[in-house]
Amino acid sequence: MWCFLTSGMLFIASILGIILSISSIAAPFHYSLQFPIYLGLAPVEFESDTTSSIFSILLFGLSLAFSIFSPSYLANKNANELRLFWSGSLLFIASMAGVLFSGNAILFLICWEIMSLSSAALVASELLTKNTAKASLIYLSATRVATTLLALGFLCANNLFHSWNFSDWHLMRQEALIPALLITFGCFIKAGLWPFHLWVPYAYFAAPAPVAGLMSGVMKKIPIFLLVHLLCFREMADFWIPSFFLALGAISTLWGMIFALVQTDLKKILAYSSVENVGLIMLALGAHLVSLQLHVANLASLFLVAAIFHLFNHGVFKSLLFFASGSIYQNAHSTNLNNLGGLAKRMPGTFLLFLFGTMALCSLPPSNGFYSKWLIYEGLLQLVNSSNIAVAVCSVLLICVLIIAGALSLATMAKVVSVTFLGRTRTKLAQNATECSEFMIVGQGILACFCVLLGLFSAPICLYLVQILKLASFTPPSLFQFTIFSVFCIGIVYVSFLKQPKKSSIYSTWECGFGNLTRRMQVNPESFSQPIAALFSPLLRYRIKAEVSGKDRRHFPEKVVAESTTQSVLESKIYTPLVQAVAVLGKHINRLQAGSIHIYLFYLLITLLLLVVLELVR
Amino acid sequence: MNIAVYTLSALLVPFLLIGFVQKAKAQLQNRVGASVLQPFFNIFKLFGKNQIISEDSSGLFRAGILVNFCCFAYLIWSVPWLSFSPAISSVDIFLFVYLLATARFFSILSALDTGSPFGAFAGSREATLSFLVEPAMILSLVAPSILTGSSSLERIFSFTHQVSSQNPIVWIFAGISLFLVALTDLSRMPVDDPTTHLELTMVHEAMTIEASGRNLALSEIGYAFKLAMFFGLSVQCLLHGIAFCLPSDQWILLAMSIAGIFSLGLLLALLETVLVKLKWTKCPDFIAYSLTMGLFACIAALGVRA
Repeated sequence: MWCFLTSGMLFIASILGIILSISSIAAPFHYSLQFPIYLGLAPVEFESDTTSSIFSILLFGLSLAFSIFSPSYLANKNANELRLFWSGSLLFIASMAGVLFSGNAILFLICWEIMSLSSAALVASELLTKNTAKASLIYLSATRVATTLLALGFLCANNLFHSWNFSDWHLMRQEALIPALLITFGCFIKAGLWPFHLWVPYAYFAAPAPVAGLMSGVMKKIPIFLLVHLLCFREMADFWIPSFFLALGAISTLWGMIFALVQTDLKKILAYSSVENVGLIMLALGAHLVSLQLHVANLASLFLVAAIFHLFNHGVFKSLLFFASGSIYQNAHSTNLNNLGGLAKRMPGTFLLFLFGTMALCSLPPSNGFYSKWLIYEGLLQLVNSSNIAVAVCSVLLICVLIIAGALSLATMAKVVSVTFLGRTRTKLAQNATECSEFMIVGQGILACFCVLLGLFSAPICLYLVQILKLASFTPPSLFQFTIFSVFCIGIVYVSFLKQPKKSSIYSTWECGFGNLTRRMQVNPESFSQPIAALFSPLLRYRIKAEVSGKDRRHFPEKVVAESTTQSVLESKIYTPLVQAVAVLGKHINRLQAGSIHIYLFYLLITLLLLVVLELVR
Repeated sequence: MNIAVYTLSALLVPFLLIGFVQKAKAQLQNRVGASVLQPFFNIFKLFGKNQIISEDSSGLFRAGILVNFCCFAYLIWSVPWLSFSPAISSVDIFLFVYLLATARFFSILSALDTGSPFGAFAGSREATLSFLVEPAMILSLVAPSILTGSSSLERIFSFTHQVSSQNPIVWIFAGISLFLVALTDLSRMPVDDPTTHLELTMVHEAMTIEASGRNLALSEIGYAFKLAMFFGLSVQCLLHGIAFCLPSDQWILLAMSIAGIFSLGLLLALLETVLVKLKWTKCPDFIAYSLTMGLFACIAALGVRA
């Protein structure tokens, strides 16, 4: 009962939040608490500017869908789990709002910590297996490192500018290189950019589906908000900084998609694809910095708008897909693709909404995902025509990278849709799946509506973004004619479905006269992605172990086993040794803490002596 | 005028081209072969036939085929595959590539919707081929767009920009690359054999294995459109390569474009007579040629501009 009450309150709060964000675009607010409530170094101070308002629209829009979707998703949880879930997620959403609107670094860091810890608690909330524990540990340690870097960066910036207020900081200038770099690295880790993406598949896989949707939809975007908000590097003339953004972005884009292709779990695929999308956003930011250095103002604004618009789009369609994975999990009791199949007939509503999300993820026109990617392509093509030949060559290569990533995402999502929803069911559990509750459909439907609206009004939205961010104007390409065509196309599809042709009969799928096709006689996720995975086998460590044995091995083998394995090189070759090294180091450092008061007194003595010596030297 | 030209050509050229290729192939192999008009008869026949739909399929099976058809129908009127500017205002190169991707996505889905292992194999191969071929496709379109400084296909292929002495290299490389891309993307001979009757080895034919009646007709029409469009674009590239010695009369150019498309058809028939189908694992090597051509075109275009 109180579960519905909480979600109802969240619903109302989200609507109020959206209204507040929209109104704060026109009239930015500044609100600071009076003396007794004070953070030691800085006051509790909230202020809004255009970027934070834009991001908070995304936050509250998604939390709106979250509040409708979650109660039914949690229908068969016990009271303890519910308490953890709701307190965690309310804290999570509130802290994200706090991060967006905080006016100084101290408050920002506090909200950031609450955000990280509450999300870690939510990741651990379905503690069923050892893997979940591992996932939450990995996620927690990633957030620790990110926060450390961020705190260091803030300290450096405070040292440089003698203020904790964001408005006094000028991280775009050359002298602020070190704090800007520290903050950027912290953001990269939190955003899950390659090579710091390791926590992403673990955390999203373990988290409950609606939380995973919020995490990838909003939380992953908060670091990018910080980068945009502080305008890091904007006036620096070094060419290596944008190249760094471009390189990491391009690698994440490819890497994320290659690994997404070989996964067999729906949530892991979505997690890797969000690595790809963050890479795409970073790539756009890098191109933004490049065009600033080349002094092409309209191109710079195009890339910034593309980055923000893509971030918005990705937030919407990725949470839609995560929500859908939640409703699949609830009804078919698995998100492993090998256990699903044939859900299109059993869950038609979820299927249709999932298809919307998929089209946006694969950036197929006229979806919103296509438009933001299109902007990036157009910008890169204009960079090709810029004066600098190195930039031109890089842009051609980046176009190729994006096209390859697009083709990979198409293959991946074709696999996901077909193995999950089409064909015959692969297990009994999937056989008995039914459509999810109306609330869940509405929750996903809201997000699908956002997708459609963002796609329909993409060009006006981009123009509006240019206007409110006060950027140099450019002419965004228009999808208008194409949208009309696609409406026409939908019309044709609808009409031809309405008119079921008379000469039509239903029969079994052709099976070479073999007899009935069984559940297993269809493509499985591994076999669908095998041809592409084989091309990337060195990178993926892709191996197929096949065993055919029996008396008449050639014609009627008794046992046929084939198993494909992949391994993440980064995890096994770099991170595992690193973690082991830290553990060994920790053991040795641990000896310092002997638990004896005499030794601690000895440490005190040494410290005092050192200080005296230092003072004498000075 | 443009609308009339494109409508008439879209209704005639694609099907005549397929008929012509089949006839030429038969003649080259010392067979009589069916009439050039056979594709028309086939499609009329298919529209009149009973359609069988698999019991395992959902509604997406037919929707996918329709979306696939709609994409190609839109493209054939909005891509300048003849020397005229297109009937509907033109798509740009990225929208073009992504529309092809949309068509492909839905055709893969409808192939997999029936739960047929053959369709699934083909779908997986189609996804692989598209992944391999798309970089080459975009490179061969980016190269001329660097020359002309525009991303709209209409502006790129407009015959109005100035002719410089280095341009032919770019255009010819791009044209060859597009032709090779077309061979792969349309699952023609070195990559896929459209006439074999072993579904396990095929790509396009196996994808449509469950389609029958008007569903099959729609996917065949889509295929014909795609063939004509790719050959047309390739011919346009080659014509721009020799633009300095061409007359500027629109109708002569139109006649030359159509003649060019049919001569590429002849080349295709010749290739399919001489070549054998490549082993699947060798296909990436073949596609690498088109990628190389596209890269050459891009490098040449960057050179010309610099």
